[in-house]
Amino acid sequence: MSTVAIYTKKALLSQLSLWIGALALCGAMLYYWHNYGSEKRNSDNQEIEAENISVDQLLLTSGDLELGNTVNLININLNKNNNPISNSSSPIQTKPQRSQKYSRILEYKIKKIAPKEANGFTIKPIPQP
Amino acid sequence: MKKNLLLLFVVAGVVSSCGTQKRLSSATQKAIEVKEIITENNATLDSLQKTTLMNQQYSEKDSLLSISIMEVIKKLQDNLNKIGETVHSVELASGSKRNFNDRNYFTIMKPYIDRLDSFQTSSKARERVYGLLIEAVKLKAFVQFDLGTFFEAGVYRIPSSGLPIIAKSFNPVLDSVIQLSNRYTDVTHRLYLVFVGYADGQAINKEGKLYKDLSNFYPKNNLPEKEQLNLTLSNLRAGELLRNMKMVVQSRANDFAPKDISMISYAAYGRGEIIPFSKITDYKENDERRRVVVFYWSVLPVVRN
Repeated sequence: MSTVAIYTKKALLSQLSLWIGALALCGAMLYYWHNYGSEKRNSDNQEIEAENISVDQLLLTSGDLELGNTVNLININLNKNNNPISNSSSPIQTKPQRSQKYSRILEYKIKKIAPKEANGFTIKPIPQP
Repeated sequence: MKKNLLLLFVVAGVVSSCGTQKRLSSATQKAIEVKEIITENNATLDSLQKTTLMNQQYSEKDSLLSISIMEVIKKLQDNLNKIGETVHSVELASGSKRNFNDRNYFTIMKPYIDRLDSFQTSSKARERVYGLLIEAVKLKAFVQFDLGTFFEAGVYRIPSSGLPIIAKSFNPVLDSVIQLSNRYTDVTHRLYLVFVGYADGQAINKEGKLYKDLSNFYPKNNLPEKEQLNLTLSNLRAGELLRNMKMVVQSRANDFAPKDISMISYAAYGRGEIIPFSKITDYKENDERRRVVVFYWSVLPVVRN
């Protein structure tokens, strides 16, 4: 084998190994890029889900309210799928209803406050006729 | 040459006449629109006035708050009357085209038209002021929150140990006050917290410490009657609750959106032996239900004339 042929063979082998290395790097990059994308999507979804928790869910539980059978709606947003007419319930539309509910809750909570007595005075609901 | 000059004059006359006509019709249109807004706003104010008077007469609302609401309504009505006069002036002026020619329009009519413009452009801000006032009139704080501070016979002081109890009991009411106030940060407003004290009809023992405390408020040569003493007692009770509530409000200062509690007006006064809840008819002379301090609140817009 001539010297030229030996050097040509070596050069080709080196070139091949470089190509293999480059391809392996590209594959690794693609693999990690894909994983990173799916992880990011997952975390984004979690953020979106967290944003969608309504104030009602955060503040109130049915136990806290101790609502009777007459009131079955706590979170208006949860009810929107059952209502074929209004598919979107913007906060502006639900505001008066919510404020009514909060007023009722507030009233209820005030009534629940046990009379407090401390050296000569008591805070309690005003007597009704 | 003469012909050209004549043509120039004719063209100038036509252009000037067109401008005058345009200004006249624009002013007339503005006057009509502003008049409609005035009528609408006046109707709202009239209805609010009636509701306030009805509340004052038939329900247990505080007279100080009613007076404050009526004052705000009066100021808004005055403002409407002023702009109404401007509309009237523009209507009168529109009777003559001359008032809207180049010279007279800018020297006489422009300030009137500017006032109408400014009234129209401030409609959103006005709506917010009216919105707050409507909410204030509809508030049934006294009925809704339903809490009173009842005192034992002859007691008017609240010890320092009572402050946490007051804070805990009145915080829900303060939440509502803060919530309403924070919804109207774009409207200059004032918060009103009013405490009204009452006393029962019992006579005060002239030998006791309470008698000495209360009679200190009167000249020694003019000893007070039972009713006067009870009036003073009810005043002191209201003042005592106010003092404590000021501290509670102070502790919530950061919850107010402007973080400025200087826009709060406090008032406390006593009504002596007057019956606190007119719907209750079975009061006795020594009755805990009469030894009470009730609390009213409101958030009202500050209106300048």
